[in-house]
This record gives sequence, structure tokens and C-alpha cells, in this order.
Amino acid sequence: MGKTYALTGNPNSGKTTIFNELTGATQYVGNWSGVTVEKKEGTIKNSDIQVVDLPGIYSMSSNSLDEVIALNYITKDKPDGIINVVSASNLQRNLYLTLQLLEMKVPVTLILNMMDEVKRRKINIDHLKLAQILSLRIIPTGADDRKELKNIKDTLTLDEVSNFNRFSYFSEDVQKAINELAQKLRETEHRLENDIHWLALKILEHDREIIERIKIINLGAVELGYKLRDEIQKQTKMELPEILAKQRYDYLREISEQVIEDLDKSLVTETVTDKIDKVLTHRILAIPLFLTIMLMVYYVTITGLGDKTIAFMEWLVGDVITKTVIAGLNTVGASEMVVSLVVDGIIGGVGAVVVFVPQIMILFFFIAILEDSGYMARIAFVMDKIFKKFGLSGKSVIPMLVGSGCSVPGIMATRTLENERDRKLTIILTPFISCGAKLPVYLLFAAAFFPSNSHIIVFSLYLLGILVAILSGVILSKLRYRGEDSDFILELPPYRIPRLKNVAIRMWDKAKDFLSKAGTVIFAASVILWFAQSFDFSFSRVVEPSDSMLASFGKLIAPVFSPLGFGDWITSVAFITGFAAKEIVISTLSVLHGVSEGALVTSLQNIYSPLSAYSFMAFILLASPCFAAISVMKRELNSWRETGFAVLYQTSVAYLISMLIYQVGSLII
Amino acid sequence: MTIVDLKPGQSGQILELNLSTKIKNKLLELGLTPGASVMFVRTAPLGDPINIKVRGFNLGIRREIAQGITLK
Repeated sequence: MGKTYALTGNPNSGKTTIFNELTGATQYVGNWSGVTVEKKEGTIKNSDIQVVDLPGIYSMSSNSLDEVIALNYITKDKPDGIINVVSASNLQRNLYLTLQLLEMKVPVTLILNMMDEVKRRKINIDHLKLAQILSLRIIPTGADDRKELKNIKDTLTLDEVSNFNRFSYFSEDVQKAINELAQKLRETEHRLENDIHWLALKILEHDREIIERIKIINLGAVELGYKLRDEIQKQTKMELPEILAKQRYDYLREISEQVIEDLDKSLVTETVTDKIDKVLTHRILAIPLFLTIMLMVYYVTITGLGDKTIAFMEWLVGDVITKTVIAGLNTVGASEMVVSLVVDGIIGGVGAVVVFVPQIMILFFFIAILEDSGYMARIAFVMDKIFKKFGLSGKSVIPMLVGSGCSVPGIMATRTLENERDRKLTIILTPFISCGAKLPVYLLFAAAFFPSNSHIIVFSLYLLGILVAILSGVILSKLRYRGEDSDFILELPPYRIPRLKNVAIRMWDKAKDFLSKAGTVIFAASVILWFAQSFDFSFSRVVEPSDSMLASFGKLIAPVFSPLGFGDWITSVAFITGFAAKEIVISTLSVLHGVSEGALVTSLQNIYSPLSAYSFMAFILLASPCFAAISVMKRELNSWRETGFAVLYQTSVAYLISMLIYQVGSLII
Repeated sequence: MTIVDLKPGQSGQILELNLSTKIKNKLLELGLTPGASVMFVRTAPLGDPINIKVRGFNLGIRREIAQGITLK
């Protein structure tokens, strides 16, 4: 077995870029042990060295979920060493994490990234001196120069623990307390997995995770830790976390003065980012600019480019593939039933979804650019005041924008919200933001019922989703999530030109997700659907789908949906299958109507009125998200009760609003 | 005097953080320690939050948090 290294670094340090550079196409996504949170791994090119990408964090503590994941991985899974990505353009704050890693006494290799940015700003960093001070190996690199990175495997395998004099920057009383507490911990050292001096420091710092672990093994040490902490706090009249942070930062400032020429000037000189911010966060221009940018993104995704990719994919699936397959099956003499299963069931079901893959990729292209450029943080900054009114934080904007592509990564993006209340609310509200998989449903229905103003109809649905999310925010924050207020602390990172490679990898990841879903869940659902609509309960083949077992089931639940304007069995079945994946709604409709996607428009026109079609779309938009999203909700909320509440709330809201649309609409029209 | 009393472009030195433990720890980790220099950069278009600069990087924080950061 090769060795394993953990990749750590601050958010915006370019960690993802470095991970992509190191591992290239070898990366894959797994799960963290204990929590099923996405975990990226890969192998360094031309080696057997594994790299695990830890979440971006500012500090080695346990205040947020991301921090706990990183802390647990390093202290429990014990990688052979750590690769720490540090942004040279923000040295002091990035080295705070480095200092904490050195305190852990694990082998650290430092990648000093963004050297190109620093050079452009005419700042000189003496990385050799920095390496000497921290007694670490430092690999300087930048977007323009990745040469040094190529030799990383030689550096890594040395596995040196730095002989850096850790704790030297802490005051005497703190050092004494660490030593005294470490002595106490020594009693149970054989049962402790980590360096006792570091554990002592963490107890003094009041790290929840570490204290919980040690309590079981050596309660006396934790009690002694509290005593020592209180003594220092009484003497200095400062809290210990504050003392430690201050002493670390004071030391880091000292280091920075030694390695950066003219440090103070470099800290205050106006940067390109400052100049761009003058426009993008401008008092008057900021909001119109934001709206224009977002309208452009959705316009290009939905009509500008999206239309063309859909037309192309429909031709590919509907004409080329279907015809080839039919011809092929006929040549081998397949029975009519097999042809029906393959063409109506599988190609009909899976094909209806695959058609939209390029469009989803386009949307994720834009989302990746918004995030990687640094603009996403500005959106959060500009919109925070509005979100605060709805009981949320401006940071909720990020999950919601990502959620407009797919709720799954959207809900996962809530992990950057430290405030538990903000996080829960955002998780519950994000599915109201229409996701990419629902878009095909609107496009189909809008084309069938509102051909002359389909854009306005689709736009109105997005707006409806946002409106419902906002109102729900107000209601739920008053009724269910009272107490703690929302807050907002967000780094506004330097603007950067997005790396094409990173954007391409993100797009490909989403396409892969979608295609694998099409190949598994949707494939299975299509086959089951085809079977259920081809046979009755005595398992004999039916001529008309309306005699099938699926129809019997559909007819059973159809009355529930009558008040919403669509009480037919096919639509009712489509709702149920929609839980598996929203794209399946179309597959279901096309399979059950027994027509290809193109002819579906005519079939739909026969059973819906424009009003019931709109009510239908509103229900699809607002009702409980797909299984994948529900399971991520469960994982992030870490509670079945909360998840159950969310799903019930979403579906009830959908039912109420669709009914309102249909019933009130019927009175008017 | 707190950060919100600064004018855009003005700087001050942090005296102490009168905030809840959670927010305080977060700010400390980001380098807003007593003695650190902070600059008020600008206010967001709708009047809240504000953009400050500390240790060379930009941070957006709500006014109510900024009011808890007293300056020398």
C-alpha cells in the first residue's frame, strides 16, 4: 500500500486547484467514515501516493462540521502526513492553520500557492527564510509555474516531523499549564491516540471534540485543565481562546515581517480586487449588476444555448439511437415485447432524461465560474440585508444559487454556514429553488400550453419558488426556529480568473452524477414502469395501459390530486415516480402515454388545460424533492424528525399553492 | 469607539471583542485579535453588512457584530 496524505488549507487558498493538479483524472468521490459527507480522493500522478482532500477550514478546532471532519481525519485516521496549501497573497491568516498543524506534531509539507498573484502585486516573499523559521519543506507555486509541484512526491516521502519549537510563542503561564496538563495525561498515554502536549493545549483551548474524547479516558485531566484555564483567565482577565489566538497571531505577524519586504505597505496597498469591488459592491450599481448577471446566466442556460443542446440531444436519442436499436433488434429477431421494453421502456425513460444533460452542464459551468471568480461571496455580501429580513444570512444565497443547478450540492453547500439555525432553515428552503432536473418539466409544459410566452412562464415559476422560499423563511424563523439570531461573517476573497480545468472537472462531475442516475435509478424505474403498465395484476399483458396494474394504482390515488386540476391516473403516477428523480416525471408521462417525447406535447394538450398545466408545474416545483435530495437533507440535518418535517412542509405548501392556483384560476377564467 | 464609528478608509486598533463566544472565536481565528489593525472599507449597498480589511484580506461582517468590536 502506498502512503496517504491529507490535503488541508484555508478556503480560497487554491486547494482545489492543487488537488486537481496533483491527482488529475485519478480522483474519485467517497464518504467520510461516520458521517456520509462527500470525500474526494486521488493518487498523485506517477506514484502510489494517495491524497485525501479535506474541507477548506480556517482553524484546527471543532466549531463547524467541516472543522470536525478535518480534525477527526487527522487525529483518528492518521494520514502519513499533511500537505498544507497556503495562499501567499494572504500569508498571516493562512499560516494560522499551519501553526496549528505544527502544534499537532505531524509531518507537514507546505505548498506556498498564489505566488504569481504576489509577484503581480510586487510583493517579495522570502520562502526560503519561511521554510527555515518553520523548519518545513516549502514548495512555492503559482498558476504560471507548476514546475516545483512535480517533485512533490520526493519531498513528501521524507515524512519529517518539523523540529520547529512549537509553543515557543505562547506566554510562560500557558506553556507551564500545557506541561502540567501533559504530565497528567501521561498516566493514560497508552490509551490516547495523539500527542499529549497537543491534547493538553486543546483541553485548555476548550475544544469540544477533544474534551469529549478525553473525558472518557482521563476525566481528571479534563478537570485539571479547567482549573489551570481558570487560573490563567483570572490572572490575565482574558479568555484562553483569545490569549492563544492573540499569541499565535502576534508570532505570525513577527514571521511575516521577517519574510515579506515592507509588510505594512503590502497589507494596505489597493489591489485589483479593491478596484473591482468599487464597482461590483457599489452603492447603486451592485444590485442591478447582480440581477443582470443572473438573468444572463439563466437566459443562456434555458434558451440561449440550452434550447440548441436539447434539440440536438432529442435528434440523437429520438432519431439516431432509437432507429438503430429497432433495426438491430429486428435483425436478431427480437419479439415484439422485447422491442417494446427496450424502445418504449428503456429508451423512452432514460432517453427523456439524458436529453437534458448538456443543459445541466451549462448551468454548472456558470455556477462554477460564479464561485471560483469570487463573485459568489459578493452576492452574499450585497444580499445579506434582504436575507436577514427573512430570518436568514446572506451566506444562504450560495446554497440557493447552487441549488438552482441541483439541490444535492446546494444542501451540502450549507456547511459553510456556522450558525445552526441559518443552516437548518437554508437546508429546508433550498429545495424550493427550482433545480435543473425540474426545468425539463417546465420546458415541456410551457412549450405545450404557452408556446408564445414560454419564457415568461418558466421565469414565473423560478420567481414563485423564490417567493415561497422567502415567505417560508419568514414563517419558519418566527414559528419553528426562534432563538439564536442569524449572523454573517464571510471572507470576500480576491477576484481570480476561474481555471478552466477546475470548471471542466465540476461540469464533468455533474454530468457523471446525472448519467449514473440515468443508468441506475431511472433505468430501473423505467423498466418497472414499463412492466407495471404492460401487465395487469394477473400478470397477463394488457392492450391498453389503462387496464394495467399501474393504472389501478394511479386511479386509487388520483382523487387526492383532483382539487389541483389533474386527477388522472397517469399524472398521479408521475408524481410518485418523481420522488425517485424529478426528471422521471417526463419519462413517466412519455412511457405511459406510449409516445415519444416529441409527440408527448399533443397527448398532454388532450388532458390538461393551460390552468391545470400551470398548477401541475407549481406542484412539481414546490413538492418534496427527489430521494437523493431527501437523503442529503437527512444527512445534513442529522435528524429524521427534521427531515420528515421538511418533506411534509414542502409537500403541504405545494398542495396548498397548486390548489390555490387552480381553484382561484378557475373562478377567474 | 467601535469599528462602525470609523469612516471608509480609516483604520483602528482592536481593543476587545464583546461578542458571544461562538462569534468571538470565529473572529479570533480569522485574525481579529486584540491589537490587530482593522480598516473600514465600505458599507454594503443596503446599509448592512460592512466590508472591513484585517491582516490584508477583506471580510464582510454585520453591523451588529462590528459594534461589538471596540477600538483603542
